[in-house]
Amino acid sequence: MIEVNNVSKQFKEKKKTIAAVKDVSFSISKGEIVGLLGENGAGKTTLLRMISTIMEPTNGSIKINGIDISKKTMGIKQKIGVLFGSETGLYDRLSARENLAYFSSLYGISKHETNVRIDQLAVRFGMKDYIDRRVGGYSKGMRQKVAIARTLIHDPDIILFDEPTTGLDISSANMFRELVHQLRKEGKTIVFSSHIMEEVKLLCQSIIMIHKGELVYQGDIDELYKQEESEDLNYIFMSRLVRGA
Amino acid sequence: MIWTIYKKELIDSLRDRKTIMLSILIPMLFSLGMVFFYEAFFFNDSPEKYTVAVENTMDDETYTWFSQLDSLTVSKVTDPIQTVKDGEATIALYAEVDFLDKIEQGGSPTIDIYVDQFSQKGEQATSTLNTHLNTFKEAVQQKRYENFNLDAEVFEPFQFSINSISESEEDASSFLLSILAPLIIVMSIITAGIPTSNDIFAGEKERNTMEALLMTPVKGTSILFGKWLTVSTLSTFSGILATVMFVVTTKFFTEGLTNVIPDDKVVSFIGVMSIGVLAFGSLVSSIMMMLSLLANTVKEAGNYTSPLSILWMIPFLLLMGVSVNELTTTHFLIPFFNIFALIKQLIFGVYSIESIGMVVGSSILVIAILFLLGSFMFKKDRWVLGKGA
Ligand SMILES: Nc1ncnc2c1ncn2[C@@H]1O[C@H](COP(=O)(O)OP(=O)(O)OP(=O)(O)O)[C@@H](O)[C@H]1O
Ligand SMILES: [Mg+2]
Repeated sequence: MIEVNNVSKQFKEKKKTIAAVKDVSFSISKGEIVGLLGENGAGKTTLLRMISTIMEPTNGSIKINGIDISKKTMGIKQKIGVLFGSETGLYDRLSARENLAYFSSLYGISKHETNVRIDQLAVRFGMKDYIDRRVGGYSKGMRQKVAIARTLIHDPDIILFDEPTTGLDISSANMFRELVHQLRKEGKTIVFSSHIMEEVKLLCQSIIMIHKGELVYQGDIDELYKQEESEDLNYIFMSRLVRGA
Repeated sequence: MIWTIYKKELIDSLRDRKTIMLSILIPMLFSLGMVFFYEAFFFNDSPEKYTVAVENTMDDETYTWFSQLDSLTVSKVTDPIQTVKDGEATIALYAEVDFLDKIEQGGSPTIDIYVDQFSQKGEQATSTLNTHLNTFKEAVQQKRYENFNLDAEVFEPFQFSINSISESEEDASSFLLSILAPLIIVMSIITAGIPTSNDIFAGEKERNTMEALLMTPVKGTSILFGKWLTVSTLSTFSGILATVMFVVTTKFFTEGLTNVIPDDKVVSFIGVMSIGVLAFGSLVSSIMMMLSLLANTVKEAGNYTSPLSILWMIPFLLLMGVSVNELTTTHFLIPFFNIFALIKQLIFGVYSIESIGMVVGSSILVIAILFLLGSFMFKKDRWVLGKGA
């Protein structure tokens, strides 16, 4: 359960103040898969950074399972896994196994348990052949798998993906979609950002639309279709934006 | 947790060839190179022979007399001045014909000496020749006074001599090493930490690994400390390696410098120096950590940290002319000055617990302040997160 209440974020840049997120509120229930839709610069990354506790909101509060994340950050962090981009957060001079083991130990997982989990993830993502080679020499697709494995290493309940398929080829993007379906079956709560309508349509029941930092729509896709009397998300998005602005 | 971070960062940076280059190879080559360079220039120079070009027409008696003078080689040529100009000789000397004979007979023959005033070698050669001629002159004078039954003291109203407090040779070598040692050691400490420090903070922001790291339930201060420890380790290791290399090269590979650090002082020299290196290395690491935290990319961090590899020269140059006896408490309390002051004392054989205490104490104070500042910055997403995707 994620509750976002009247959250704003401003960045002070020299003399300008950039309002990246403006008074946004929504909630996401457990086991839900939600697509966060918005154009470039809409505030998706900023919003996900705030939910993942690494960035503090200027105003408003965020609660996870009823606990304000600004207070019990350490416990909350065990419950969240985040991947910013499609293949980030890896150390090139370490092997995939070393990368995973490093993060695992930072999450306080025992050595034995770590080995078990890495082996499971290696099988799940088909990384066995290259898991002991240094990440620096991997292809984009290989890196993506390791990055996702890193996100899942501590078995989080809530998983946030920021533009997870950007820059990936079709088969890697498909691999990601397949993974989301699996995770849904495991009962994980997933939020992923995207600006691709088709992707969102394929993956989720529920969407959040933001534009220039403001919430434009939250709710069921089908409900939105009904309201707009159209199934063309692109069209809906554009018309909502026009009305919202 | 700190240990986990430390271990990972150390492995990570040691797999980077740049680190190995800058923290191990540089100090080794640097100390070898510098020591040989200095030895070659300053010590092989002094016992050297200077060539004095004289005219072909010089009589045998005079020629023989000049030839037996220490440190001088005399060679007969047609045009002495031209020979000096051609670089074949250092001094051109024109003596009156039958120079010695004329002296013997109570005359006052002349000698004309030509030398390139702007050549250091020429200056040294004239000074050598000057000493020889003066000694000879005094001996002749003495003899002439005696011949006339005169008391030589009447003609010499007073006598004076200028003496050096230093034990000449020994202290010249110490002075030399007191310039060399800080160059080698401090340079190694600073260059060793820079690539890792740039990579470990600014680099993590640039590659978006910092976000993943901050997502873990590890405290910001632990991350900061673990990373700082890595940079400190590399700096300190490189500094100690440079110290050992410096001692080894001066002791085993030089003749002029070997006595500066007596055999029984080698262990304490390396030991005390290592404590100083540890203090200074840790201090430099915390400064580099702050600079790297301010930057968003490795390149930007490089712009901030590279001036450091030149700026340290300022206290070095300011202290170069200060002798060991002139060092004061202030020198040992000001960071950056104190490492140079300490090295100078050690080279001149002064082992003072107070000095090392002041170096360590003042460094710890500055490190603590920088750490407070650093952990404050580490809590602000503005400093730890890159510009984002
Ligand atoms: N650390 C920061 N400092 C200053 N401004 C920032 C920072 N992070 C984001 N911004 C600004 O806030 C706004 C929202 O950025 P954000 O990255 O959240 O958008 P986004 O929806 O993720 O965009 P994209 O699709 O391009 O990734 C942008 O105008 C951006 O320039
Ligand atoms: Mg973004």
